[in-house]
Amino acid sequence: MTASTRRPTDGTAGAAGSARAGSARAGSARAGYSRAGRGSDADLTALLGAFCFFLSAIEYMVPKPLPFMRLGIANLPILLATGILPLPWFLVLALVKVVGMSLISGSLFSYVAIFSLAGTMTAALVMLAARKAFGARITAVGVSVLGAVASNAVQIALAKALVFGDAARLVAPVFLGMGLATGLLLGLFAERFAAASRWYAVATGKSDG
Amino acid sequence: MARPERPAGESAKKRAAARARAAGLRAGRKAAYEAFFSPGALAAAGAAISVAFLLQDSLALKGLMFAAFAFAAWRSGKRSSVAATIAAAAGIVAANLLVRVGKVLLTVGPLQVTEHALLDGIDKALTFEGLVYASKAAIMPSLRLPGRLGAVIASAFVYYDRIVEYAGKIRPASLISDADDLMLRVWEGETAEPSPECRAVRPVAGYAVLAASVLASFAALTLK
Amino acid sequence: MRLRLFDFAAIAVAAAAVAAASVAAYAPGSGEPNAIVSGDEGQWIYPLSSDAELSVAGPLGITLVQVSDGAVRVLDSPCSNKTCIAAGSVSKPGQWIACLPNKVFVRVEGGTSDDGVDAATY
Repeated sequence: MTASTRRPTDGTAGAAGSARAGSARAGSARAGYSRAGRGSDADLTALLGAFCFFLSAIEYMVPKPLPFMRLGIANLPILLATGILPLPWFLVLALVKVVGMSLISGSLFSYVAIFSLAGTMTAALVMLAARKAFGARITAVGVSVLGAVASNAVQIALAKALVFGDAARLVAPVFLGMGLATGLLLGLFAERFAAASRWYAVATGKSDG
Repeated sequence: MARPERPAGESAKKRAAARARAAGLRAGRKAAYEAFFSPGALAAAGAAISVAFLLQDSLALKGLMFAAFAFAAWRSGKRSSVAATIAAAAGIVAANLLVRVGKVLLTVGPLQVTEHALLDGIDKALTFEGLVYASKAAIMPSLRLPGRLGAVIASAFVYYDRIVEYAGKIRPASLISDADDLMLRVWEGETAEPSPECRAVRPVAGYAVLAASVLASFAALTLK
Repeated sequence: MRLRLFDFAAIAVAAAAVAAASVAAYAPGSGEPNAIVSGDEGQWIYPLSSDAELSVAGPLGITLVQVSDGAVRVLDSPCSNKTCIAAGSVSKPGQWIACLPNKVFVRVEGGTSDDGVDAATY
């Protein structure tokens, strides 16, 4: 269930919006920190899902060489979530991203949604598996590359079956290559963000604020 | 005698005015559509009709259904780009023509258009774009999905609005710290609670139209 | 930041996938063989991997050409000597079957690139 407790907002913190005020509040609330209420898995999932929507909107504005190609920027929150969410909520996040985007763009019943579902679920599962399997011997870069290439491979297979027929073979190398490239860039960004982000530290429970 | 030149700004102003007019008309259509159909019934009907559309063998009937979907999407006030539709359809047909199958209809230099490949390409393009338009007509923004997934998605939409509100403060040079500030700010705000669903009663005629459409789609499957 | 062991492994796997896909798509001879059937009324092309039965009309009547099991053959023809039927199935690029009296010509061609099509010769 979505968290229904409302935390009283501190006027000064809201106005200043500064990290110091924010983390001070988080520090003082730490004593009562629990999985329900603020910081619950459902809440984190909703927040990360919202960022998926936001990044999708940005991705939509970037001109793409081929209309069917997706850059995968919108999977960044899912990549970060491999270190934050437990498995059930991780899967919910992937679903939230797919279904939510389908609702926003009104494509729930079309092939677009099928591509989105297959691509996102593949990326999510592969990324989570890579993170769990290789632990400290892999960074977000490798995780992201594997997720992106696997996701694009699945989408190419779908495209061959549903839309392009055998001709899909001809775009496969380009599409997979783009997966490798975007996976690399996304992974590098994710690593640097996770290292520098105070929010990420709070979300993974590493920080006291 | 030289004709007075029209100032450059005027045609730009006319275009802006035309765009605003179109947006206004679209908003009007959208309001009427949303008042006429209940979101849940519309989505359910859309799903059923999409299935009937997928099962339809006849290219001509598929074309008819496609036209109906496009009209419904227009009527719902949703934006759609004709250029994007044509481009995607052309791409799908072209890709299918690459693998030659069937009777050779046309030869232009090294390229050959074959009958079966062409029909297959048209079928796939119609299916792809038809489903896009059917979805646009069937999914209303106010649709609330049931269950816990629906609740999480609704919360996500609330957070999304908040993100968009704060997002203007991100600069590429300080991307990571700006994004981090954004995350913290959204995170530290109030817990997202989705607004209660609008429960206005829709006219019976709306449900009747939906039922008739579903029946017609499946009846079309029996036509040879 | 330093990349770790499995980052390089992942990149290697991805690069290998791209290479494999490139070979499968662009290498010469990577296409499927096709059966090209020419008759009085026009020309037909079918991949040998598909299943099709063609009725090709000619001056003497209908010649039945079948594509299945990765090969093409003439099933029936109104010609008098029926050599085209006796020729059996062909499946290798360059092989052909002809029914001269009915002006039907069947040949196997490899690859998916669009070669220029010669006028049918008898």
